Parts: sequence; structure tokens; C-alpha cells
Amino acid sequence: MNRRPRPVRVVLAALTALYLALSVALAAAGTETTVPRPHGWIGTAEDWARGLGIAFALLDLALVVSLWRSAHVSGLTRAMKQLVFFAVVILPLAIVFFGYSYGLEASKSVEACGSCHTMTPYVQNLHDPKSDTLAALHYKNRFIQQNHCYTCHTDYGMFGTVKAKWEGLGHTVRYTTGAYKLPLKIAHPYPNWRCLNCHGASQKFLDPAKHPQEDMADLVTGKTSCLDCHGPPHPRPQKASK
Amino acid sequence: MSAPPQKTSALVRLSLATTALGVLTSLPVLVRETAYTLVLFMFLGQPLFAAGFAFFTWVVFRDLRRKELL
Repeated sequence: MNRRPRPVRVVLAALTALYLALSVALAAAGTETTVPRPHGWIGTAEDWARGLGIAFALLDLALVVSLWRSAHVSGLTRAMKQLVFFAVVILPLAIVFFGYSYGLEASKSVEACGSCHTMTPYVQNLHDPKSDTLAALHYKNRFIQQNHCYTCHTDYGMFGTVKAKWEGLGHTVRYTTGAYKLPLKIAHPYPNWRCLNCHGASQKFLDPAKHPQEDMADLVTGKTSCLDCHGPPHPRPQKASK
Repeated sequence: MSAPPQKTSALVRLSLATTALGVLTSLPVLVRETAYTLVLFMFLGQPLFAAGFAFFTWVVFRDLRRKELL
């Protein structure tokens, strides 16, 4: 097998490293933010997953095109067959890994929920400074730091995330195929434990003047919904065109 | 001394083509995550990668059997 001279290999390795670093930097720079990044900011794990995913995808595409041309013109040498293994097995594995690392994390954001037009009224309501719905109050006061929709619509515990992702996948497929009815309705009654995960131990919740002791058991078991007194969580669902 | 180039199997080219399509359908989710790009990545990108991998594995398996190594 012919090996390239050492200086050429060093330059190629440096250019590849530079390309990967630039991809990550560009992905990080594209992230929307309202607060300036701290000095020495090198991006989040999400930025890195996105940047590396894009970098590996472009590398794979370039490699596949180059191998295709070689195969078409002169046939593949033994070294090229090893590169086919790299292009067809190793790089796709990296792309799938980074695709999931970024895609599943980014799917938690308000922007991701708002990317389906059926969610537009709900997301607009979050941004409306005059809105006093429960969701808007949580959003504009930053009671929840990020991933606002996801935080309130996910069960906690070991399988909460898995269940949320599974249901989210169902939403995505139904949205893409148009298999849904308007106005949208929540699939199950909203459980109190999602509220109590944050509020359960707070002084406001435990204050008997606000939540009398005799009502506490019903609130904890969910017999009385938090939303009976603290709703509505969102604006009334509207009929929108598909 | 390197071995001379051999005629490329159609399956290898098919494997390269499905991988390229897999990359093209996976890239959008990394550029902008939406319901459509995520569905494209999960339900089209991954099966295409899997098909590319399967074609390539078949070629390797066939070569090994032809050389009586398996």
C-alpha cells in the first residue's frame, strides 16, 4: 500500500482537525442567546454534538463521492476498500450517534415544539407579555430555566423521559402524516405530580393559608387538580387549518 | 507493492449510494431540528445507513466465502 509522505499526512491531519473545530465553532455560534457568553465559552455538549455531526456528515459525503468516482473510473484498490468500510460503517455510526445526541436534546426546546404550526397559538401565548395563563407566567418569569414545554409535559423518574420521547415521536409522526384532529386535546388529565415536583416542598405550597391541611391529601393524590384553581394553563384551543 | 485495482462490485456502489442518501437525509436534522427533519433522520436516514451497511457486509461475506476463508 502506498503511504503519503509524513509532511503531507501531518498537513492533512491538521486540516481535518481544523475543519472539525470550525464546524463545532459555527454550530455553537448559531445558538440563539439573550445573555452574552462567559469568557472562554467553548459551547455546550449540544453544540459539540451538532458541530461534530455536521462535520462527520460532510466528511462522509466527500469520501463517498470520491470513492464512487474512483470505483467508476479505475476500480477500487485494497486501501480504497478499507476506506469504503470507514465511509459505510464507521462514519454513519458517528453521524447517527451525534444526530440522536443533538436531535433528541434539541427536540426538548420551545422552538422545536413551536415548529409544528398546531403549536403556534400556545407558543405565541408564552411570548405574550399580557398573557396571564399559567404557562405564560412560568415562561416570562423564568420559573423554568429552559425547555419549558418539555419540563411541564414530562413525567419524572426513570421512565419519564422515555415515555415523553415515545409520545413525542407519536406526535411527530401524526403531525407529519396529518393524522390528528383539531382542536387539540391533552391525551390524559394533567397530573398534579408534575407541578409538585417543583412546588411540592415550597413554602407557598405548604402554607396552610393557601392550601389548607384538609385539602392536602387530595392535592397530593391528584383527586383535586392544581389547575382547578391555578388554570387555565394555556389559551383555549382554537380550530386551525391543517 | 499495492494490489492492482479490481472491478467494483455493483453492490459496493449500491452501498455507497445508499450511504450518500443516508447522509443527505440525516444532515437536515443537524442543521435545523424540526418535526420533519427528525422524522426524515429516524425513518429514512437510518434505514438507508442500515441498507448500505448490509450491502457492504454481504460483499465482504461473499468475498470471504469465495476465497474459502469462511
